Amino acid sequence: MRMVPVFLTLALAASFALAQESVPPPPKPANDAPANAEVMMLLRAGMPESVVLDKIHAITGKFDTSTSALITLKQAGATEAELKAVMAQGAAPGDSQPAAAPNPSGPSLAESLKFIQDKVNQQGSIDYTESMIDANTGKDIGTAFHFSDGTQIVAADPAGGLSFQEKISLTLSGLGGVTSNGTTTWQVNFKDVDKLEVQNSSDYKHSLASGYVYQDSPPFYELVVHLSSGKTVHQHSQTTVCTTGLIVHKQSCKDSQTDNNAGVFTLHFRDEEMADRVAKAIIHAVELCGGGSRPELF
Amino acid sequence: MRIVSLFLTLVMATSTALTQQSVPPPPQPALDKPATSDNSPSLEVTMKFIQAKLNEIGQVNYTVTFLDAGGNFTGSSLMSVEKSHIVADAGKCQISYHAWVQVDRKKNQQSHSDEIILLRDVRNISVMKASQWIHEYGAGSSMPTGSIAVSPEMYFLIVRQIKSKEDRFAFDDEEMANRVAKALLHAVELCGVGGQPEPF
Repeated sequence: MRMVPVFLTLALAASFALAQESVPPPPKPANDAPANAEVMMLLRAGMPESVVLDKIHAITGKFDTSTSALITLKQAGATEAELKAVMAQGAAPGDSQPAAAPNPSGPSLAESLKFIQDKVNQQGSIDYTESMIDANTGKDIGTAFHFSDGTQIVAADPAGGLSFQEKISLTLSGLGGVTSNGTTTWQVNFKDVDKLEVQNSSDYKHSLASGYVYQDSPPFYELVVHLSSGKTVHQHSQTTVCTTGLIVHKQSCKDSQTDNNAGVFTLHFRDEEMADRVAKAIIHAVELCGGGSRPELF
Repeated sequence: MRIVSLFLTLVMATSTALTQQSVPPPPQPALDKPATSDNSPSLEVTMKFIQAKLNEIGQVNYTVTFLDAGGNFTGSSLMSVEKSHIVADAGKCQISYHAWVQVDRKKNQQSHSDEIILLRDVRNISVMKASQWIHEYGAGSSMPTGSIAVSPEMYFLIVRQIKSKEDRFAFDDEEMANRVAKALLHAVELCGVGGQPEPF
């Protein structure tokens, strides 16, 4: 599982998940701190982890432990242990910077919102077929669901929020036939976001329903947005389900509306790199909005 | 560093497509080429043209017929497609539209979606016969061995952005498909593909 906590002080895990080599470095590298630069040099030279760790522990200078700085280190090849060591050094006594202080550097909130909106909306409607296999027996369920799923950001709140609209069409071919067309809307404030993860869609579905193994074709990626404890988004859905009889090909449809408070929602991406980049942008926006989890003092 | 390897080629995949001289010269990075430095249409004019021509298409209907290796009929589908509410925004360098697709006039076999093309992310623009596209890409693994016929023949203007994201506009007039493709290519140049580093 690729989990991305938005902790500013535990961004180690974020970089672990986000910073694949495919993520392009930010235009303004955050590793201006000399201590970070020294570590970067060792990483680029391919030094063993033990050497890098010794060096980190020996450095007395101040590390830049902002999320973007850690991501840059990760992109340079830093291991989890090395990133943790940097975090520990950066949080050493005498560091007058609050660990969770928003990093004012990097793109503005408006730029971040625009990037997120553009890239989410660019995905359009993703058409895929979902097959299911019984995880216990290995038997194919025998039916295939054909989905057309697209999420759009219909509005961006300059104060740090987004409004979403997701349209899902589902067709189940086989006996008679069933179709479902639904629209779901919700809004999120970045300050309520706790952590992010990027997962293969099939793996994500399996994590929700472990009794089945899912196979989505073509594969796509979910950016899973987890909200802080107690926070939810209100999702309103309108769905029309139509069934067609096997013997008499008469179609009957039924409309329904549902409301749901969800602590998690997902955004769909055609490729992992873009999911990672948008996750990075959301993390930055969350920082700017003062959101994300913070370590407890005691 | 963001690697910019954008080969914006106007691929004339059809046998009767516009001749090669209609292919514009390789695009220059937008930062090196002021939009109004020559007599070519401005971005605003170009986007207006694109919006008008795409909105003129309206609903398109065509029948896809599948033939087996022996040339025998194996099935057909009536495709109805409409791309509507097309807005070509010069300020944002993007084209947005609503897509509707229906198969065999069945209410339960249709889909609606809202799509967007970010011109700075466009990697390739091409025009291809619908039959060729369906044969090569559209039918996927369900494509039987044999051939495909589209009646009346349509021409797909294909805009590829990011990985696996492809927007298609179906024209019954090949010349118009090529003209809009040319305009799109010009708009992409003016918008400066890869000219501005992205923030993330």
